[in-house]
Amino acid sequence: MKSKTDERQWHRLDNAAKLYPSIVSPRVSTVLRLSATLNKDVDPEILQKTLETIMPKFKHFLVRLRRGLFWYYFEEVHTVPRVQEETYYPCMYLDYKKKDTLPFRVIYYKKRISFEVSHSLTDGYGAVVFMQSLLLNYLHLTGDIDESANLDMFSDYTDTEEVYEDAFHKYYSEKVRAPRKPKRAYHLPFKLNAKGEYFIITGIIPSDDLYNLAKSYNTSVTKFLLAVYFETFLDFLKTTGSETNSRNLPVTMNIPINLRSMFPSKTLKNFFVSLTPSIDTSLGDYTFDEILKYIDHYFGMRVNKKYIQKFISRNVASEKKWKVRLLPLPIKNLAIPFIYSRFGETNYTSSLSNLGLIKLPEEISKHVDQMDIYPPPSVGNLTKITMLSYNNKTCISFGSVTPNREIEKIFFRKLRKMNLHVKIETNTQKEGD
Amino acid sequence: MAYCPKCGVEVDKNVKECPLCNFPIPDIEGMQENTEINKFPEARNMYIKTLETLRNKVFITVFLLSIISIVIFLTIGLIRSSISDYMTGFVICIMAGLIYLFIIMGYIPHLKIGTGIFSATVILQSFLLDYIDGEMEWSLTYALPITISAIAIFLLTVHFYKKGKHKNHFIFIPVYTAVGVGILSLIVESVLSINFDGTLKITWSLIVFITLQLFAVIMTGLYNVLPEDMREKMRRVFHV
Repeated sequence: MKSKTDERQWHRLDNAAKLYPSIVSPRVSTVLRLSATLNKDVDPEILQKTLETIMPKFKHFLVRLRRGLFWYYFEEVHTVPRVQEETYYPCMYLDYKKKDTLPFRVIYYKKRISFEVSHSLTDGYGAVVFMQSLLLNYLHLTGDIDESANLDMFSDYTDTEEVYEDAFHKYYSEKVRAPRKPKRAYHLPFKLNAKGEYFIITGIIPSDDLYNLAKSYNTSVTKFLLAVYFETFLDFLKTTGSETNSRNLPVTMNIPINLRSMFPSKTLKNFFVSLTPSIDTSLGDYTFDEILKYIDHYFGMRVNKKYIQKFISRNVASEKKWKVRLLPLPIKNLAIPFIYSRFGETNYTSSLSNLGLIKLPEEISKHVDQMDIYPPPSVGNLTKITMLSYNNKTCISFGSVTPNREIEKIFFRKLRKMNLHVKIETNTQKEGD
Repeated sequence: MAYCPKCGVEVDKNVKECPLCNFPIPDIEGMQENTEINKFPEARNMYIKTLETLRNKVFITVFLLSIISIVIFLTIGLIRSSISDYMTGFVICIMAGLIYLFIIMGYIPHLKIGTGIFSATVILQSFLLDYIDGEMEWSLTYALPITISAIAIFLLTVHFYKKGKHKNHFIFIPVYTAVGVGILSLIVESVLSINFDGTLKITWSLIVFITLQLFAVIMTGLYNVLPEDMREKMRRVFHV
């Protein structure tokens, strides 16, 4: 008799995801959130039905984490989780090492549908693909889209085995040498907040104004905001935090770059590398133009197929070593948190991740007012930025595990001084408080 | 639309303080009240919930185990009457232990009530243990004064610590503990010596007391006063 597990499909964790299950904790959940705000209240029954309709197509997500002898792996399951009403802070701990917890959840609150997913399953791009399909099917079931609409417009990501590919391995070349490692970076001196609390501050800026402003500086929106973010930290170090960097550590940012446009792939697994532009604070003050010039040169040199290969090579090479592969998983679990903090978050001050412009088909977009993305909470980097643009709104979300608002304040005041209209939304305020 | 006058950012209408700088948002007349709904629920903390479940699980397990052991000890006491006094003693200790666990695990959030129940249990337990053989030997003379003074010192220490509003609890909790334990050791020895010899004689507790007070003074000094002061002196003497 064939046992049940024999029939189940399984797939490997991709190169970037392999680290995450070993470092998750209630504080470092590695869960990111993508949410869409509709123009009317969400119907939980229909949302549940939608999930049941699309989950069989997104088999890549319908998995649970299992322990192998050497690595974790994902095993297919057949139960579709229940949608939940939002009650906790965003991006909370998903204990997906437990048997009955899937590595994602779909939650709703009033007009908003949120998809929270562990980074070990997918990255922001994969979350967008899933959300698009979820919205299309949801609006179809509520009757807001007419019957003739093509419900399979995202079939590129549902009917193919390619979503399972580890694109890092696909584009890995053995002979490429790794880039230089970044050095230890400055870290914010703020207190941590209580376990299980996560504060989001979202600044909403008109996308066209932001684009035009960046254009007037002859640069892109990401680079422009990165320059503002760098200047925020430099200002903080000059004023409030002037005594907190006695070692003159550099301010380093972690900028994830989605590789799918450069290296064609339909994968729903992680496929990004992190660039780490860094400003040496021991060299004195920087003007905004100097920062911008540095960033322009930095990205100009690195964002091309050849140089990015070096990053891919670095990531994959360490995973390919036999002595690493043959270490039993429990030993890897002990070592990986140290490796992650030593080679990861110790070396950058914060991170800024731009998902770019989200385009929804016309029939969906007229029912969706706003989209937001929140970064996973992390103890190593107290505040992080993720952002996206949709419906002429650029939503810049700070995810923060500290009660201190200094960085957000300086950042948004700067944008305000540049005459951009900023609307702030946050989960820290209570009604009538 | 509501704006923060300091940051210049727009906020939702129901927001009363700027999320960035905590400056109160001016309430402009004619502004519609609370037409905008909250974008987020009043979030609960998931971690506290998991912690509570764990705590309940632990307590219930210990509780069930204690019930079983009480039954076993009572049965043994009935069968073997020669050791029944010991068994009664065990049962009293287990029951008291359950109450201690209940308080220590934070089921009674109010500190003073918790401490009150805790001390009542200690006193009752010592009475009962003392009374098993039908005679009161030590509970009134030794246990009662020591328990009462220990609880009093504990409450006073906590009171003063809270009043002190010290920022660094890694420094000041040990300091306050040292002061409290020092005073308690004096009381313990006086109770012992009065009951034993009928006179007040203090030896070892004085050493403990002085050592702990010195520790407290040095810790507080190192943290608060001395470094800056000493640096200044050093500067004066050694400047070139």
